[in-house]
Amino acid sequence: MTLAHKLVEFSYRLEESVRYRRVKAFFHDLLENPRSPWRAPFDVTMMVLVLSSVALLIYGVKNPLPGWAVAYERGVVTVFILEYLLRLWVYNDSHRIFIEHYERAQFLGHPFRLGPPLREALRKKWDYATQPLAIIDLLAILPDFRSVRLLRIFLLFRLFKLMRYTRSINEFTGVLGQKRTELLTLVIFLAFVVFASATAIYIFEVGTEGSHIRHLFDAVYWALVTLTTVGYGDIVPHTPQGRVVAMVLIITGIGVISFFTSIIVSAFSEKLPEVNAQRVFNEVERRAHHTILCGFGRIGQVVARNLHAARERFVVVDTDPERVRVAKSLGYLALEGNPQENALLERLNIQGAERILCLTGDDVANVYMTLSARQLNPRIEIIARANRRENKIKLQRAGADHTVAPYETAGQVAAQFVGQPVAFEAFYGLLTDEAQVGADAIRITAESSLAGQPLATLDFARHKLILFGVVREAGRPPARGPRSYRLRERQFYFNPAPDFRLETDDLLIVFGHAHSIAHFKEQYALRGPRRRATPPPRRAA
Amino acid sequence: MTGEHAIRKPIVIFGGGRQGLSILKWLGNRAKDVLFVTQKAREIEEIESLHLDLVTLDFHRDESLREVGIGQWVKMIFCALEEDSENVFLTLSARALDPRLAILCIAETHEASQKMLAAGATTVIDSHEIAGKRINELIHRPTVVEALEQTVLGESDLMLAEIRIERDSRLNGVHLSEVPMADYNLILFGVVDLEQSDRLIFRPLAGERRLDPGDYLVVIGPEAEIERFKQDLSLGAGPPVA
Repeated sequence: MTLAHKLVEFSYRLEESVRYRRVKAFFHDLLENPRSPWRAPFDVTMMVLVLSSVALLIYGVKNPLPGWAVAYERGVVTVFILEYLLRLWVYNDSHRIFIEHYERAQFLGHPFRLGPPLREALRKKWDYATQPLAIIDLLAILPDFRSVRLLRIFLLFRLFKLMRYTRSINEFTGVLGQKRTELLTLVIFLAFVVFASATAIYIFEVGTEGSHIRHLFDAVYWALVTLTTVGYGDIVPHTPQGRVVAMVLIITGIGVISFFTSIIVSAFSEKLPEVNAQRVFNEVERRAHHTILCGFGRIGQVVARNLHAARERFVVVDTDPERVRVAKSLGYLALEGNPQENALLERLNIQGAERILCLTGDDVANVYMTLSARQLNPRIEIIARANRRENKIKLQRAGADHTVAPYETAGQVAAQFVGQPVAFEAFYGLLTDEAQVGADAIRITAESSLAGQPLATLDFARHKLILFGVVREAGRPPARGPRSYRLRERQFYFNPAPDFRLETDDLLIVFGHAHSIAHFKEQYALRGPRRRATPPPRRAA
Repeated sequence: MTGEHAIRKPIVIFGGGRQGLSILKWLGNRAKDVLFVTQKAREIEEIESLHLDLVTLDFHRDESLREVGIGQWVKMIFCALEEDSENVFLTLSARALDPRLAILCIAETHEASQKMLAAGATTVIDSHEIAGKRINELIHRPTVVEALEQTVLGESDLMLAEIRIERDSRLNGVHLSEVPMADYNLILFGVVDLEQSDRLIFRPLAGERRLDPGDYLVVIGPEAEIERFKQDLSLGAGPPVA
């Protein structure tokens, strides 16, 4: 068997090996995936290694290093070399190149030659090695060869290596990169001014009595020191002509400095919203199971206030910058953008989100958002606002789990005023949790051993609770006796008698104080309604 | 203006927009006692198409308010105009005409609801606040919201009712624990003792108290059962308002 065939065979073995792929995927995740859970600890470790080794090397410039420090430095460099090689390894799959070339040769009936795939594989690796960050990585390893004194300056590259592990430095260089054209213009202008004034001062001053300028280099040095308004004063013009050059140069210098400052400032202020948005994206990426709140109008604000009070994780999105500003000033995570765009929803980590609230004042936008959200995440809980009653059904068709129509809700509550003006306040409080007495649902869990027991087992009166009714899940045997009402696919039994037999997963709807309810649950080892683990059945959109 | 103001209805809804119509929808069999007042052409058209009683007049003038019966036969008004400021003005005018009138206002902002209360509204419903709270409840307790929406708040026969204890009632002077609730499919939610405060006292926290004339029992149950309860004990119905 030739070497070429051995290599191809080896490539196929790698391709088939689950373990190889798993190991490679792990290192790829660790080194390249910004969302990996290992990323933050890895970055911090590497930064500590860089800084500590740089500190040792600086100390070593003037002092002899103790034995342990040399060993430590060796260790750090070993880690750097390993990291470099690993990055080189995970950059691409070389064995695939061999397989592709081999299969193509087989298909065309040509003899397989080692040359082309080898060249391609090496070129790929070369592509990686010539990337700026890879070059920095390589140069950062060099200061270890202390015998070459010049290489010590490569210590600085080790500091540059920090760029890999910090986002802020990357953002800074990114901002400067965006202003490349302006900065280039400035550098050309600067070079012109420096060279022109250096020439002028050289012509006027060189050879005159008491002159500090002996070479053109002195003139260039003086010009730059003056232009940047540093003005050390080690070289000063003596002739009137030289002073005129200095005056012109000083005025120009102020202009150059202000131009440079304004470029940097404008670059940052242009980039600022993007940097802020990036911060929001990072935040929602890091913590899943969040709520996306679209539309920060009056209703959105009420919802956000309550979510904030309940310490829920949520992010506010609105198209209006003024509203976003208000949300931020209240300490909420907020972002300006159009939540109708799929790209934005995806960046807000809709796949990991628990629910989305579509609460804008525009039903068209709410329907559109509901549809997009349902397509992007079939399991997400969607609560949508219907500003017109007839749109409730459209929102439900689009995939909303719940809809709320503000006018409808207010009308529904207002209608209760007729007939019970006295009790109304209490009832209104019950719905807005302003009263201390609230309603809650308590699930009969399998482990509570209450299933099959009659209601009389539970002492509501002692816990200062009132049982309003029991909700029975679909598929459980129906109860006879109590008056029942349909709640979509479930059944609600109003005021069941003490001999009513409970089933697993029944929900007790009770009225009472929050702490009475908590105590009741504790007493009977019960908890609230289970968080939905399985997706609800969906209607076709 | 037409000659319709001869229509005498105890409930007047000002504003025939989405808000006013949604109140009507939930009034159930009381909808026949409602008179609409509006001036907007679009709303007039819609209300007429629904064959509802309607008067078109300028509610800024006290005369017009008297014409629909405020200060006379009208017991309750709903201020459901589109602008918060209009509702405040209307509340103020109506309160001046009748100090005993029940006035329910729909507000769009919190500040407006404060002004409406200051102007003399009996109760203010902040529509955005209540919708927002409903959404929060849906997040944390979806089943509870559903159960209440479908029953007490919805179109089912289950309702919340208040029953006033009259002097000749059989419950006059009876202790709370002696009220024969077990004979009826009703839940005793609480009592209101107007002498103490106008707040509802939740039944489990009410302790052992004696019912006096003027107290209210607040019960939840099917409409027919509530009627039977009232009949059996020959209790007076709620205040004449409703």
